[in-house]
Amino acid sequence: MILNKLKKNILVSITLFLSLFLFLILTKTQKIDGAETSNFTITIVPAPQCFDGQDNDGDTFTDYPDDPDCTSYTDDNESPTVVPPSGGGGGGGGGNNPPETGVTFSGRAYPLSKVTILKDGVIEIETIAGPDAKFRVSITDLTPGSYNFTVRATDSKGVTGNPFSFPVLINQGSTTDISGIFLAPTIDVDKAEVKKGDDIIIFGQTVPKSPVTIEVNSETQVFVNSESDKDGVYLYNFNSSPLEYGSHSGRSKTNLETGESSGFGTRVGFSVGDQNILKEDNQTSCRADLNNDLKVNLVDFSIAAFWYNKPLSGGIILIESNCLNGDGKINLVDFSILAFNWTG
Amino acid sequence: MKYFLYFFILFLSLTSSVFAGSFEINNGNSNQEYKVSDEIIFEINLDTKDEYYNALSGEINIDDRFILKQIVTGGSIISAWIENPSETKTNQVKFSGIIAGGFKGNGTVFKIILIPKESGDLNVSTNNSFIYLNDGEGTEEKVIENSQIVSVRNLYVGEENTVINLKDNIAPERFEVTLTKDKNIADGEYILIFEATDKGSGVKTYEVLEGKNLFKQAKSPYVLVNQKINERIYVKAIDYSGNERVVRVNIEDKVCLGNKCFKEKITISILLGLFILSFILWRKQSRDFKKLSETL
Repeated sequence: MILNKLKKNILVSITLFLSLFLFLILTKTQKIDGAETSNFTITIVPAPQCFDGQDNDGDTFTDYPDDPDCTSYTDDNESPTVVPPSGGGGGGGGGNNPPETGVTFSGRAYPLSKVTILKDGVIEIETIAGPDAKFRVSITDLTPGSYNFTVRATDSKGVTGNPFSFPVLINQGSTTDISGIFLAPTIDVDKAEVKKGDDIIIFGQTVPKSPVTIEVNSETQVFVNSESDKDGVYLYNFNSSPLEYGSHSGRSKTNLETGESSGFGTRVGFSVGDQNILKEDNQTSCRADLNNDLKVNLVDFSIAAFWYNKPLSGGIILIESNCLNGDGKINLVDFSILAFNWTG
Repeated sequence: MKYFLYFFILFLSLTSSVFAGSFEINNGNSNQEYKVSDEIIFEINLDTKDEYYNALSGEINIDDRFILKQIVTGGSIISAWIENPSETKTNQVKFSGIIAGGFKGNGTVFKIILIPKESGDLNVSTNNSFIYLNDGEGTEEKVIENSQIVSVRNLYVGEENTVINLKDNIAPERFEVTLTKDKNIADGEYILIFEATDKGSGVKTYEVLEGKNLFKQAKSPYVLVNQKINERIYVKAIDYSGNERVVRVNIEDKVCLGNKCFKEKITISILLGLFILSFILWRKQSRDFKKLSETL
């Protein structure tokens, strides 16, 4: 009886321990994944009280010119101002312009790369990063509300890096500064298939003269280090010996000496086999580009929406097969692929 | 064995809460007591934990003792709706949409304003929810469904009801309308593609006007009735508060005069012809006038 109870307790303890152990491991992995985004900072300069859309002093009047205690849009006090007894002067104010409601983005992309800002999935503004990969761009005249912004950049080879998306709440008259954006490096390989034992070149672009960590997925993950040159280009001759036959992928991240990290970017796929097959430079893919205009936007969305949950017929069958997941129907999976490849 | 199963279930529930995204129904203060005929706003939020998601769909099941007053899509994280949130069946709202570039965090998908008809514990829950990772593969992820129960009591004599007043006097944002044709939509006929956003109450509906006709309700992609494209086209986005934004469709290679649009070449030829004719007439008139002056 006692022995049975003891056995039970041991079993319970082992199970509990195993559960907690696995839980901790999984939680830890999740934390690593979560750390794959760069640490950006959002600084909000609030709107002046006389242009914030609120009745700050509770006198039932809101903002300039409705609130008689406001002298201008930029007046930061809605409460009545105590006028010195000596009087005189006065007046002024008014006639000025209301403060702009806007947002500024700054951070690091790739040297001289085209940086694009999408507002709720629509291209809003484009700029060119400096030779040091730094960029700064502003959007003004925004309607107050919640926005989902996406920042992405295309490197000198035309490879677009992992886009960086985040929600921001914009208040009336406030200026929001989003700094410290650090886009993950672009990545590509020279071979679609590498002969086991031969080298495969992994390359891309990031911030100039910076350490780059490349991760290659295998049965056990392989990490190698490289460094970008003055143009931000990095390159690594990776020997495929430790990799097993089959499909693999690689991704990279940049770690600055200051401790800032870009987080890992998108994965590039290749396979290990019995021969070397070069990856074609101009490999055209219609991934999610349903009307073949080299953009993935609302037009492609509309084509997909038109066929959503309907039996496919005509040319769309081939398009679905080539440009989407090829399961013979258009459903949420295809829309997810479309949203991932969205160019605006 | 019983203990093992218990811990296995505990383990599963712990891990699933770590990995899955979840829909949340939020009505501000869950302990608040509401009265019959109060207006209650519920936010349907998506909490992605540490993952990026880009497509979602689901249903909201609303207690029969509620009346659905309004759906508010303003300020939504959704970039484009595949199915705009709408009451497909009584007290059931269906929705699906995408988030271009993906979304990570806790964001509002849409809001609903409900009015309880009776007292009691009334329930609002999510159902049949699907979310997809922003990984380029359309990987479906587990969703944790959510339900919210609110206590509703009868109204006492002299008490007043709570009314939700969503102040929104801003029109939907400027939006682009694409006039195009694609062999994969409506047999290659001319269509309009549009999607507006409204940060206040959200876009309720769209209307299209072709030529001299009246505005009529439309949905993107909209197949044009007049396939000759020789009339002006306007698209109107109307939000839930009745604010409107009208956009005139830019017709390439065509010049519009009044409500009619002509091919650029034809218009230029006509204008050139009219100019030459006017010049000839003017010259003739000048000569006649000169002759008349000489005669006099």
